[in-house]
Amino acid sequence: MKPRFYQCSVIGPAHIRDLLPNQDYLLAKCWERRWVAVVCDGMGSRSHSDIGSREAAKAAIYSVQNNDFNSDDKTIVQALYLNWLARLKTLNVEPKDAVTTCILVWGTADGRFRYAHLGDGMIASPKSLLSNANTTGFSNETTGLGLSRHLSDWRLGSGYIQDHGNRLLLMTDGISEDLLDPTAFSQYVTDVLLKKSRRQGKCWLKRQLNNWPTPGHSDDKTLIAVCLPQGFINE
Amino acid sequence: MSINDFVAKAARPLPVIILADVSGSMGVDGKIEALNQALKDMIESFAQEGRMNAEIHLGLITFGDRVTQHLPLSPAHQIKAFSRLNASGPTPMGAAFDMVSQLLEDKELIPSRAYRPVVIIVSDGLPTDDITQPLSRLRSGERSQKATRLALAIGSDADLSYLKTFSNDPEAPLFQANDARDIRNFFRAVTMSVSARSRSAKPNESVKIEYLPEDDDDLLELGF
Repeated sequence: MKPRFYQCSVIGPAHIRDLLPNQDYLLAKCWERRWVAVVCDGMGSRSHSDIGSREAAKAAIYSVQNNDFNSDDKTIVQALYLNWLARLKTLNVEPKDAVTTCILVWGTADGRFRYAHLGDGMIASPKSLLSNANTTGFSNETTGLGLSRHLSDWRLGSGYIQDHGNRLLLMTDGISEDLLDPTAFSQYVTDVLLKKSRRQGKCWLKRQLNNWPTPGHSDDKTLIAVCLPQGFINE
Repeated sequence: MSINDFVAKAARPLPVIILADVSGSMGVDGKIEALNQALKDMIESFAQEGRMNAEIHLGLITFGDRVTQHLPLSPAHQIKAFSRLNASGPTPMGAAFDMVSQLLEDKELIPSRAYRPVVIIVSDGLPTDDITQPLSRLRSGERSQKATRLALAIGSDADLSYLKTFSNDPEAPLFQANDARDIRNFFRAVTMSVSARSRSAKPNESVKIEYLPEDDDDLLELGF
């Protein structure tokens, strides 16, 4: 069974004010009996962070598509990282100028999924918070591709999407850092989205993200909701 | 039900914690009076600051007869009153370092969504307790090491070496005040810097503190 993706990325007020591009990027796709979703958040202080996040999303898709679902974590992460570096080299962009977070989730038609998460942002479901940025510091202190050199910097995991209410949310920190209760937020957002078509869902998401209620919010905001149809059971 | 029910309604906090020396020596030459006035002015300025990009939270730890949270860390606009400081007792700076370390490590008090805190110490004397270990803990703590630390040494008796070690702002290794007026000027400069940060689109980035000792703002520019 293929999941339905609801996805949206909006540019933050600070970047609009400074005439900067959206430094977040998202991609999601299905092929054969597999699916992948990725959101990346370029580090705002770097000159090519928009390119960094875009190429990281493409590299993440490449890594998952060119490796077996059961490949070990290091294989997936290393393939992603090397592909990202190669893409930047082609574009003549230094990695240090294109630092970006990466939140990658990929799965199979039977409901299994895995994730690899570097830097800020969050993966959540209506049942639990699967992966959150290391909360040892303060706001906007992130690591990412271009800074990290260790597999241990990544948060890695797996599960069955059925154990998560058939829904997963990938969010950049423009959203996740302002959430009071990520699981309740995930439940509410996916409840609303599942009643809408993809197009209607995207319009609704765009309105919510552009009218974000937290005073002083400034970041770009990007979200992908991965939803399996109701009543889904293992094939 | 709407998305508003799940999202924070307050801007991200920008914590500012003052460590104020209230030992007996602060009671001479009008230093404690100047500090009281400077803190009162700072609180009033922060309270009036808009809360669009960041909400300034202010805390005041005093060290003298005892080490205490004179003002527990809270949103500046909610601080209703400021009871004046009195100078007496020794200078237990090490215990004050431990107290601020605890605050900085407390994720309930300072959530991870907060912007990088600013810690400012103001002292005119030598510590009377051990500060080596407390300062080391402050400088190496998981979160406390990430705070911006500034120091103001008042007069010639202040322990410059420790205060220099306390500061971690390369652009401001140590501020010095020669008299009570300088204390007020320093706090005014810090207030302007923090306020500018709170209004900035990037509140994590430092704003230079424009402080000059003996900057006599009473001096009229008369051209002769």
